[in-house]
Amino acid sequence: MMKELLLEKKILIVCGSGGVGKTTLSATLALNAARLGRRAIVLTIDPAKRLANSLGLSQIGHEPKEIEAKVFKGCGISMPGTLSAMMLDTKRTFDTIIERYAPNETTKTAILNNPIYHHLSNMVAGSSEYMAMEKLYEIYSKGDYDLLVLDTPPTQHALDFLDAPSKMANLLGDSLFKLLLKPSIFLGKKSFQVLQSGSKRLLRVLDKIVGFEFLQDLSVLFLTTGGMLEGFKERAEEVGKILRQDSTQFLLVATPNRLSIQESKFFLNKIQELELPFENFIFNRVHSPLENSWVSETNKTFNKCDCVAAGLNLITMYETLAKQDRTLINKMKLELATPCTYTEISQFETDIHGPQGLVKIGNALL
Amino acid sequence: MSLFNEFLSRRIWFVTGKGGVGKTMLAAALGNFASQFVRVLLIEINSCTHLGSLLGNAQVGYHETLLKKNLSLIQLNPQDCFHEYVLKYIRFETLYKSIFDHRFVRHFMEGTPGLNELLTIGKIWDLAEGEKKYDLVIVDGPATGHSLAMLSVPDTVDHAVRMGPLKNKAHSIVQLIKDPSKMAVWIVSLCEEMPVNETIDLFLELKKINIPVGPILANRMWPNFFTEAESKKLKPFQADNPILGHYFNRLDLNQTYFNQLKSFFKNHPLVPIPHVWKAETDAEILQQITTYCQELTL
Repeated sequence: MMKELLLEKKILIVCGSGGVGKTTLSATLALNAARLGRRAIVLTIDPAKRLANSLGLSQIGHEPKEIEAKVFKGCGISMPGTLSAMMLDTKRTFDTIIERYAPNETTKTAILNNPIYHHLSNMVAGSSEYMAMEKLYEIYSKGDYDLLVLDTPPTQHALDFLDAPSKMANLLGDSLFKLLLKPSIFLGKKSFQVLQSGSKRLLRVLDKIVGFEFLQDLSVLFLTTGGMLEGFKERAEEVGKILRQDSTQFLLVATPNRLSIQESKFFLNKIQELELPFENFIFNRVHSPLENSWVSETNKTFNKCDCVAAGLNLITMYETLAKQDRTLINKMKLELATPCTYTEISQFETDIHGPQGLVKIGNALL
Repeated sequence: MSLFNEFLSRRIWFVTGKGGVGKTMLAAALGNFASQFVRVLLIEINSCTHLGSLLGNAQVGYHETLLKKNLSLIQLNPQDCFHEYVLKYIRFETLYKSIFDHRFVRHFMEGTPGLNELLTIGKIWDLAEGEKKYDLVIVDGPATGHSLAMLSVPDTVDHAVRMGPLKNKAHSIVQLIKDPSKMAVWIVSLCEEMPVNETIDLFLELKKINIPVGPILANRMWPNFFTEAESKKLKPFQADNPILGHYFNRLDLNQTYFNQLKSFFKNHPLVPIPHVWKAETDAEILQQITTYCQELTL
């Protein structure tokens, strides 16, 4: 199942709440695709430094970089395809877009120096979703890769990312926005007179709430970015289409704990509401049941080392954790009642950083 | 007396940390703990009602609901915050409806980066400082990045907007959240690479914008079942035994990252919270952590 996915799809979007291992899994999926002969790239938000280091990614900024095959030498795999990776850097990407699409030098400088732009682009909130969207579109339309794996930010962010195309398109098509683009706003509040009564009332209310000066500042920003906005809107709509095409798949990742599972449900609702393609659910960091032979072996060791009582605690803990995970996973499957493929990945004994770790999880998924 | 008692005089405890580290569980435990001494309001910001179901009432929405003596809960969402904020200025529900139920105003709101965060932190200000119905509000904050955005957006607006009601509001929020006698950010971490890095980064970022930081909580510490002598005897077996191998590897990893936190937070409260595995339900886990918080001494 996973194999077909890696061979047939063009875009995989990995979603789930925070701390479930999305980044590592995204890298693993891209690696597996490369092992199957595809040109794959993983777009990641914030990989562990040691993961980035071990893939030779510590030096790169926000441009795609191919990971050298020698990184995986000694891991016992062959890689007929290629694996590339890229980190999303919101601030730099924002500026890059302005630099790329600004019609002329004056506009570019005006935008980059606008105080509101400056503050907005420095804030993570909201803008990172737009930027992820822009980057996805850019790389997809260049066509350099067979498969894009997109790692998404934790739940709430990711929902924003899904909504970003329609939000952006809505905002730009909207009459309040157009109103703010009218130069008459700089005539001061007198300018309200020339407007239709609906718009007039709207501006009066906004004046009370946020203040007229703020509207003027905002208007300056919109006016300077004016020519570029249509481009934003078009791309936003394009991304909306790309996200729904047959060659795109959303994957949900959860760990077996109640909160993570609750958030996955929320996520799934959103995916269904937005009619996005979804067929795969991954349970990560699952405590597998202990093998009986190992338990008796370990008990013998405890005997030998005179720590049977403490040892019993350890065995009980692992058995409890495995039982808890099993109960939760079964309950979750029942509650989701969604036709999809479930995959489970065991909890490993160490953090997964290096190429070896990725191959280890990769093997579990192939 | 618990180590946490000295923070009871603040007005806001803002709990944050990397996704998946257990913020909600600890926010609930802190709420339980603090409500023995002062009137507490828990504030949930996420879209799911985790805190509600954890504390036995999943039906809480955008209204303060008393859960037990001295402990209430409210769930904030940007739409209701917006509605309330706007009504304060225009006063008439019918006028609000005629204007703000318009599709395009909603879009304006959704499309303006930072606005949701400002409205949410604005409502937190109202609850903590404006109305004074509670001695302490505990915010179950979003993950690191979003929390940082929420805590820095008032400053942004205060600087970027020249004048008007929005600036005034932002300014009073800034006054509150930068005051070390009133505000404390609690950072929840795990002793693993990513959460530790994120904790240190967040701490430095918060210092940079002068937001006071309270205790750092190292959550889910892996239990150490053995005495030093026992471990010494057992360790030689770990290479060939997957159970012992798994256990000791995780234990070592935990210790390494805890030491890393310890050497960074030399003069700052850093509190290990045990991994609760002996529990059938989340309510039991909560109970055990609450008890642990009570008994915490310096």
